[in-house]
Amino acid sequence: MNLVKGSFYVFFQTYKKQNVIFWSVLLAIVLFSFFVVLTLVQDTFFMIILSVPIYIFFVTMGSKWLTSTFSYFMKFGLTRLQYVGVTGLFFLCWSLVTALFSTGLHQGIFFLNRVLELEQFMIFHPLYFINPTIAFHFMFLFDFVLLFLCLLCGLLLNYIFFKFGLVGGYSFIGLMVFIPILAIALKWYIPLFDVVGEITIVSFCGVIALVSIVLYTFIAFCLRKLSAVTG
Amino acid sequence: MMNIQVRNVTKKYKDKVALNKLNFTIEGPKIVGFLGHNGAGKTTFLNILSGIIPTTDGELLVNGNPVFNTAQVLRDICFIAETGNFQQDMTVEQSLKANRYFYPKWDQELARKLLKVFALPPKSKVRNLSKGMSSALGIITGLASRAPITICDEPYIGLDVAARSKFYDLLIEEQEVQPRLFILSTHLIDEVSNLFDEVLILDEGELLLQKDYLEWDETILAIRGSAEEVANVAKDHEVIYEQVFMNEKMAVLYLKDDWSNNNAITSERVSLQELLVYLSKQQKARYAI
Repeated sequence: MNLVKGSFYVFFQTYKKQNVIFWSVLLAIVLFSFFVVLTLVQDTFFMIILSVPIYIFFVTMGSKWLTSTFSYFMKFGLTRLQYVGVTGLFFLCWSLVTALFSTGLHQGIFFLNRVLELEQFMIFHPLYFINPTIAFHFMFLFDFVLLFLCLLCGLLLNYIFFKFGLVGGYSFIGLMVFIPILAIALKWYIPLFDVVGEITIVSFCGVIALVSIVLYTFIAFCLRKLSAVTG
Repeated sequence: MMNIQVRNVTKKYKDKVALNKLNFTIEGPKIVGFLGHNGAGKTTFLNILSGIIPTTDGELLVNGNPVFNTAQVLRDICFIAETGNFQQDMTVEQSLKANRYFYPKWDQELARKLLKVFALPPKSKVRNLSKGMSSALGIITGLASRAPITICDEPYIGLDVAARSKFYDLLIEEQEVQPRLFILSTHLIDEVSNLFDEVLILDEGELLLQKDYLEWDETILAIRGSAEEVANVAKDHEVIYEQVFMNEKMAVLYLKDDWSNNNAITSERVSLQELLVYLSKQQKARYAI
């Protein structure tokens, strides 16, 4: 139990500053937009997307994870398995809290919109592409699994850089960029969009969760003999 | 009682062999000086001993259990490296609080006392600490961890003479209160050599010698004389270093046999520090070739 408490304490302290900066900037943008809509503009329509910056932020945080914490925890005498365990647990909690906060923020802005009768201000969520009247709990569920996946994607990227250096890391990024280009060229996105459009939100979240579990298992396998000193 | 068994431990980094089939045993409690010139493989070995990196070949056992990825062994080891021991964005106080969760025998009272001894500001962030202060934080962690195996790799970089002296006093005091296996790797050998119970010297990734420090003078000796006489005497022992100046030859010997005085040559004591200087010179000469 001490191990989990201690790890959470260190993770929290390590990422506190980045979180405070990110949320301050994001909330400041929301408040500023509200202020602009309420006071300065009358006929212009404002739309804010909060979720996408949060997803990007989570990928970024995941991509620094090993570099910032791995050797530190190894010096504390954690085994790789323990490290992977506490990392997964922290990722779950972090995603859960952020999804709750983000969904709450969406609902709060909707509420304010209704109270203030603002029609030219809207907060957008990627799920509206699938269903524009999505319920609160589905939005929460989707954000939760997607944020967890974002952290894991960042962690995988960090692992590639950590293990294979700059050349390996950038080659991997190149490959990841090439795949969507290929997908567009070969029109793979059509069946993909068909599937996404047809399945329910819960099934969609289930697929993301499954991908996350596979990715997490793969990363755990990769870390089991990773040296904490690069070179 | 702690027992470290090193069996054929080899570590390779691409083409470079950092450690080559190391074999030795260390038993504690005691203070062990782990020495060698730059690049001898000390830090690599200490990293393996603390489970930070895996071996390429061979095994390292602590009380019969492998170190790498074994939780019950690793929780008994505290490793203070030269740098990077703490999270930069955490304060001194937070770093010590974090230690409390990971070291089962952590002594918070001792940590508080040492914080005052080294005059560290508890609210200061690690990134704002000077090199010496950072080292002091490492020393506090090492001592207060009360880990049965405490490893310090160059623990006092940037510390002034007074603080270093304080560290030596604390080390002796701590060893009396709670004896454990301290492994110290340092280049400030003259200052600290009197603390050692045992000395291990690595050279080019291989164990050059392992001796009780009390037996040092009966083990390492420098001899001077004519080339023939020195060669004649040296043939029964291992030559660690040799040089010729004018008509005189000097050789540093690792005595393999009983030493008997010879009137044709002069013999003199070699301090630990001097031996490390000779080893370093020898290494440079090798690379020059």
